[in-house]
This record gives sequence, structure tokens and C-alpha cells, in this order.
Amino acid sequence: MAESEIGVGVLLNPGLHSGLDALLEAVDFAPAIPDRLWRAIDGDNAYQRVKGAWDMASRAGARVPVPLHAIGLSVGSAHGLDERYLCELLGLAAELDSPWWSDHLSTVRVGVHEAESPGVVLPVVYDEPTLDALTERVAGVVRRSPKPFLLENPASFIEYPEQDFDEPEFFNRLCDAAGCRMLLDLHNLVCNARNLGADPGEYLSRLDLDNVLEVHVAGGAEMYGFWSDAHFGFADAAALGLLPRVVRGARHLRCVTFEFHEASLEAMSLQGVIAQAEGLRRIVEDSVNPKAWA
Amino acid sequence: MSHLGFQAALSAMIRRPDLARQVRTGDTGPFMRFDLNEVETRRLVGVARQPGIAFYASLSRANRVEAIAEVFPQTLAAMQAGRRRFLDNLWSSRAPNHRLDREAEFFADSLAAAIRNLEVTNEKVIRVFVREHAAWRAALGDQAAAPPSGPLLGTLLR
Repeated sequence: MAESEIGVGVLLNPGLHSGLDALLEAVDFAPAIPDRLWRAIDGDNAYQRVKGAWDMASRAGARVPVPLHAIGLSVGSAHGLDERYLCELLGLAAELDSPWWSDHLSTVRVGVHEAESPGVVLPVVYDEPTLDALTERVAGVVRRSPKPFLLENPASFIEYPEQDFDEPEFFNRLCDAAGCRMLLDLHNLVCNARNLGADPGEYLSRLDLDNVLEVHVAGGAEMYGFWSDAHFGFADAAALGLLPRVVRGARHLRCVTFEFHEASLEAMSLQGVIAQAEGLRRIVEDSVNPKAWA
Repeated sequence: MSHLGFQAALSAMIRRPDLARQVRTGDTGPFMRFDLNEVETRRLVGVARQPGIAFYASLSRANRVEAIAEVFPQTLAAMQAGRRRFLDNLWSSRAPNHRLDREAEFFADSLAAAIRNLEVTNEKVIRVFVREHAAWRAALGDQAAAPPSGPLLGTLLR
């Protein structure tokens, strides 16, 4: 890691397979999505490793730390956690010696045996009953995990009426009460600003940045009249514009990660991805070193 | 935590845009089966009136199509004008799981049944589907399905 204790990472995806060695020269972390390292079989009762993806994560893990970034825990599901999935996650994190692992503050599983799932990622309701229930649930996960567990702020396209908290306050209270930490996705803040009129500056001023261990930056795309979190292309300039403030304020920040969908790799090129990682490092260094601002 | 019924009702509005349109007018009749309290009902009506609910509906369909297209891209293309109606019928009876990893299976089962029942008779659709189905099964390790040839159609349609 360079002068700062804050490293940079690129979220692994299948498109990076042939350029992995070059990428690993440029990053301090190589976060991986566990749901792409396995596939569920036998009605979700077992998980089978996907060889190519697993080999890639293992190779990366031999060089740099590999935090896991899950997409299927669905902490907000009224039906509770999928115990089999959680066990698999914890086992994988141990095997890869992940320094932390994360998922999203959201709901993707709905209904008994998922018979009513929406096919999209839904935000949770920010009210007292949800906070109480999530505190107990997340605290249970934290107790079972030897490494920090982070929850990511979602990109939302609706706002529930009659909530008790705004999102920063909900995260502050959940982290304090349950002992989890936060993965702050700056592009999701940008999505919520463009789609719902949220104010990212106000959000950051209300958020306890001490809970933030990892930051995500990404690009998006216009879709059906909304700005989506498609992870398409290079990081959005508006998200990068928020980064210095977070780097200066988040005392426990460990990694700034660029995430992109492999479909946009051809347009960006591997060199472009590496340049993005180097650009993130410059922003981090300039933000923590006041001399660089002169 | 959000009540079970609240999440199920919200999910239903996303998968069935006609339901959201009905609720948008203030008709909460579709919620009768979900066991909602008053606050949850007001929240759902409020959400139904936001443009984001239509976005989620479009995104859900796009996600499901993408999962099918990974396995059956040429079949979907060959279906042309009949594709939308076929998918509407399929999805009206099948909700996705959160990984969307059974979408291809749902699609294949439903299309095979439609071919068997002579609801789909387009030769190009059938030919391309048989080839892509065999390749998919082979990729999953089903060796019996490996060679994409004529007799497979009989196997598929049994």
C-alpha cells in the first residue's frame, strides 16, 4: 500500500481474467462477488464452485486481500436470513482470509421459497420496527463473523411514505446498535440525487463517517428515464467529486473500490481500468495530504 | 421489519404493472389478500403513484430477459412478434428467485410445452431452440443432450 493507509481496489469480474496479473500490480485489494464464485444446486441446499471464477479469486487472494461483496444475503427479507447461504458466505470468507465482507441494506428475497421475489433490489423501510428487527438480525451476523461485516447503501427508485428516519440516520443507528460497518457507495448517492432529488452533501454531513470501511465508485446509465446503477463504464464524475470529502472524514476507511460490469470492459480496455485505479489512488493521496492541494 | 405481506404486495406490484395501475387510482382491493396494516397500505399506495414503481417493473423484466438471453439468445430473437405475449404468459405464473438462475429453465419448460401443444409451430423457433437447449444441457453436464441433432427434438418434447 502507498503512503496512505487507504488502498484502492477493482471489483473482480469474468472480463478481467486474462488481465488479472496486470491489474493486481495496480491495486491493493481485489474484492470479489461470492455469488459469482458458486452456483446453487439441489434447490439451494448446496453450492458448487464455478471453477474459472474461483481460480481467479484464489489467484488474486495469493497476491492481495480479497474482501467479499455479496448480493444475496437479503438482510431485509421479512422471512429471515437464508442460513445455508450465510454459512457458505462465512466459510468462503474464511477460506479466502477476507479482511471484511459486505452485502446490501436491501431485500431481494420475498416469500416462502422465494415464490414472490420481485426480480429487483428493494430498499428497506426506514422505520422503528425495521430498525429493531434488523438490529437483532445484523448483530447476530456480526457475532458469527470474525471479520467486519459491512452493509451498503442502496440505489433506490422509490421513497416509502411515513418513514421514521432518513437513510443516514438509519445507518448510523444500525451500525451503532448492531456493530456492523458501512460500505458507502458514492454512485448510489448520485443515483438517488438524480432520481429522487436527494442531496449527497447533506447525506454525508448527516452520516457518521467513522462507520465507513470501504467506498464504491462506479458509472451508471440512463434507463427508462432514470439514472440506473448499471456499473457501466468509468466512475461517474459526480461520485468522484464526493470522494475527497469522504476520504478526509472517514477515519477507518480502508479501500476505495471501482466496480464495473464486464460488458463495458471492451469500451474501457484493461489499461483504462488500471488508469481508473491509479486515478483513485491520486484522489486519495491528494485528499489525505494537504500539501498536494497547494 | 417490514411485514411479510407488505413485501409480497410490493413485489406483486412490480411483477404485475396492472396491479400497480389499479392501486394508483386508490383502489386497494388487490391488497386484500396480503394482510396489511393501515400504514403499510398507505405506503404501498404512495409508492404505486411514484414513477419509480414502473421503473422497477421494467428493470425486473429486463433482468429476467437477460437471464434467458444468456442461454437462449437466438431462440428469443427468432420468436419475434410472439415473444412478448409468450413471456407475459410465462411470467404471470412464475415469480423469479433472487438469483434469476431458474429463468432459463422456466423458459425452456414453457416453450417445450408450447411446442408439444402446437401453440408454437414456427420451424425456425423450434430448430434454434432445440440447438440452444442441447448446448445448454451439455454445458450443465448433461452428456445425453450433447449432440444437437434431430432425435433430440423428440427427447425434448416428450
